[in-house]
Amino acid sequence: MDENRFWILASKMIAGELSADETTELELLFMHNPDFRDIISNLASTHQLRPVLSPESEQQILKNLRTKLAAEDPSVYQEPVALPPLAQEEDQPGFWLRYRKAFVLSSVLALIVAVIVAVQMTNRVPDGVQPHFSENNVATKPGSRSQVKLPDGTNVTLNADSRLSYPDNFLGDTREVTLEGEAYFEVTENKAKPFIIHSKAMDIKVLGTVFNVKSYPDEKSCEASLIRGSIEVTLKNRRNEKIMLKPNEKITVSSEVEKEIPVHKNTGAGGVVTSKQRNTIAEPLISVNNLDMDEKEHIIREIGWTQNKLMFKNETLAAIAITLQRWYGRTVVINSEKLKQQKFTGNFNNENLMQVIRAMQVAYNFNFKIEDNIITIY
Amino acid sequence: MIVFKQIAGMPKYTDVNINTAVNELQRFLIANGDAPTFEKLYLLLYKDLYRFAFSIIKSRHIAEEIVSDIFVQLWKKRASIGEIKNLRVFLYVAVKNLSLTYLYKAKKQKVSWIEEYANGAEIQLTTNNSDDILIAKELSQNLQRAIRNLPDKCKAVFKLVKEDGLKYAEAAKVLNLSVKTIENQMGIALKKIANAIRKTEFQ
Repeated sequence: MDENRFWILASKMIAGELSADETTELELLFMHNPDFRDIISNLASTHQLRPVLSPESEQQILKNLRTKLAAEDPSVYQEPVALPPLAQEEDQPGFWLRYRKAFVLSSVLALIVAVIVAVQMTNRVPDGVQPHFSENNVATKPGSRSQVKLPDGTNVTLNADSRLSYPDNFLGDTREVTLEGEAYFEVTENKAKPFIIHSKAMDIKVLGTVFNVKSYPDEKSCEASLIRGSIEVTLKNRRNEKIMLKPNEKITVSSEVEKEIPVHKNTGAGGVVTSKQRNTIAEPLISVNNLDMDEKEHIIREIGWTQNKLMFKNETLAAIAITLQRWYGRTVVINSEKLKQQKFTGNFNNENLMQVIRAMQVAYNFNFKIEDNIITIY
Repeated sequence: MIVFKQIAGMPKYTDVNINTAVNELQRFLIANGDAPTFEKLYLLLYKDLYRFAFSIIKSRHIAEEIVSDIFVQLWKKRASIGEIKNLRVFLYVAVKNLSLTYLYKAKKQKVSWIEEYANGAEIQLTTNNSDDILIAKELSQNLQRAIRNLPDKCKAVFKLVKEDGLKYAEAAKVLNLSVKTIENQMGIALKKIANAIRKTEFQ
């Protein structure tokens, strides 16, 4: 008898790899090896280990994967969790519909307010401030957006909580507007009359182009993202420096940068002590980067808002809270310093505020409460 | 009768035919590319792949990282998931390759990964027949000892086939060996194990 043949077939048996012919063959071989029959059939009946994960470790393991996927591939990966319903009015179906009505309503209101303001401005003669043309103001409230057509045909989409001032007509050599907040511009081409946008940290000069400007007073950084054409950026505190942007680039100006500077202290006894101390000095930090294309949705992240998309990439919850507040017009407060610094990546498409907050809750496991229309995360 | 005791505190085991489950999930993924199916697949294979990675690199943390990294890659390429013939083996090979990258980086020299794997986490065979649970702790220990004393290559083959339930052809792909070699190694393993158990039985 071929002993090796016996062991090969017997091991096939314990691995469940025996063919019908081999089973017969093994039966015969067992007659020569009766001592091993029990041991081998017992080994054959031992089970493959197939551990079942406990619900807690399952959650932990899933959380790790989701965090990674969200960071690597935020555009594609959407949280698959069916979140438990919460007894909040916003969770009722049709909320978004009602919300959309509110959006339209507030946009109309914003326009009416703008017209009233404009009329008042026209009637009032401002003391020494460019008396030759009247100024229009369009403002959006948190939770609303608005579209404006300027006298030269330029289209401006105003994001929530933003203000745009522009003259009745562009009579001079330039077309100048002032922006506080965020807006998407599609500027009508007119090489003879450059279009200039004044914002907090920079002025942007364009001929005819499509771009986005984000300059909220309560945000440290200010951005201009160029989609088509070319723009020339001048920083407020460095008048003689001009930065040209190419399509698909964005410039970010951070108005405040914490910088360690040596501080010289006179000790009074004739000695001078030099110590390093953290001082915040107003030093703009400028960077030019490529725009962030969301591969799956084919949307440039910087202008996702114009298509109703909330897109976060590696943003602190503190910054996200500000965005949500603007986007939904509800006050969002974070009561934990640690949470404020946590970073989140993810896209939202027409989700309501509760859905957004709960999706982040899955990632960071925080609690939240709603009192007097204020959402507090803790 | 020789039965192997269920070790206290160990998780329960299911009889799920893993290959059927994986194939089904793969079909769903080809059709829908959806996150819930993907996460089911992840949970189904996590423990096996984690244990496999852990055996090679012997770090819980890195093993976890490796398995989740592999699934991130898989998610990104899920559009072509239909081209993968045997998804389970594909993932084992992917985990192996990534583990080897870590292993070589950590050891700064070429090492035999089969040796590392064979001597990694201990194989633990059990039965889910509750009648058998009370019997033969001693025998289970003898079995563990017999497996521990196997030559590395033998042990690696035995682990993949008996512990992970891979088919010979699948284990051959993962270990980069021929099916013939798997057959022979399994024969050698069983001969050694059976003889070791019989010896203790007659003592």
